Amino acid sequence: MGHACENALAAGLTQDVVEAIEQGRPPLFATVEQSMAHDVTREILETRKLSQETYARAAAIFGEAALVELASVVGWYTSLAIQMNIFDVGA
Amino acid sequence: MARLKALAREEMDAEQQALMDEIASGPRKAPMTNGPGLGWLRNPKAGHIAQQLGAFCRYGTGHTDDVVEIIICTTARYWSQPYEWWAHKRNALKVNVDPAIIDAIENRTTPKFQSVEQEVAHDITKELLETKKVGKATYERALKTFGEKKLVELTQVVGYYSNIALQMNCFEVAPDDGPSVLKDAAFS
Repeated sequence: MGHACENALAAGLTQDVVEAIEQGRPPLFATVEQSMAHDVTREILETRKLSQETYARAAAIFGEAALVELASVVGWYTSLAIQMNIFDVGA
Repeated sequence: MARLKALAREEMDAEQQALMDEIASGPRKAPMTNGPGLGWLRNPKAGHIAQQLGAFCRYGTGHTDDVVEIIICTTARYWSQPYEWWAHKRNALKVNVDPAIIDAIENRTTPKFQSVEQEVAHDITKELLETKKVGKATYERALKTFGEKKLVELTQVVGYYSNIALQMNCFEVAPDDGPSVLKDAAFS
């Protein structure tokens, strides 16, 4: 989790939230936006789709444009992670 | 029907129209109003960068066209993304990939490939997506077949098409014929 973890702490996320994500525990988020972003990201990566219920909640919180941007961020970092995993790039 | 509404040209602002013109003037030779273009139109600045990366992955690597399309079809199958599958099944057939290979990828059976390059590209793509890593034997076989530069390019293709596949699944983007063009699509 090298760089993202450092950036998360610098952006004000707590150590506890970062550790919970690393360990796969439900994090105690400070805002509904953080919690929603986490839930959408996990669901799309783990199930490869987004249920109508999660989609509707996320669209209500972020609006369509910011939800498209969220998906772009997930997509881009997934793309980088895939590329780094093949070459055993460590922290 | 995707969660993002398609935009007719007269509904687009100048920046959105310019993005579609840019795509049409490139190697794709047509604007992209469905597929990943639906998301790109929501943010043309990001769309501009994404479509350039996409054009590189599809037209700019050192891989042959049949190998590129097999990498993309294998990626689309992993994400069960019907638009990506529909578009690249069509492209694969155009560049003379054996239709039996495409059917085997769709049915998740082992294809009989036309070349070692096709087989190695398929196997490493599948292993990378399904296990999120690549074993030493697979890595070394791929390195020997493609060399380091083309192996990096292969991962860029897998990464880029995973990137847009998961975005399209978020918004249930399907071809005009609907998600049923692919067996067990991510949504129906």
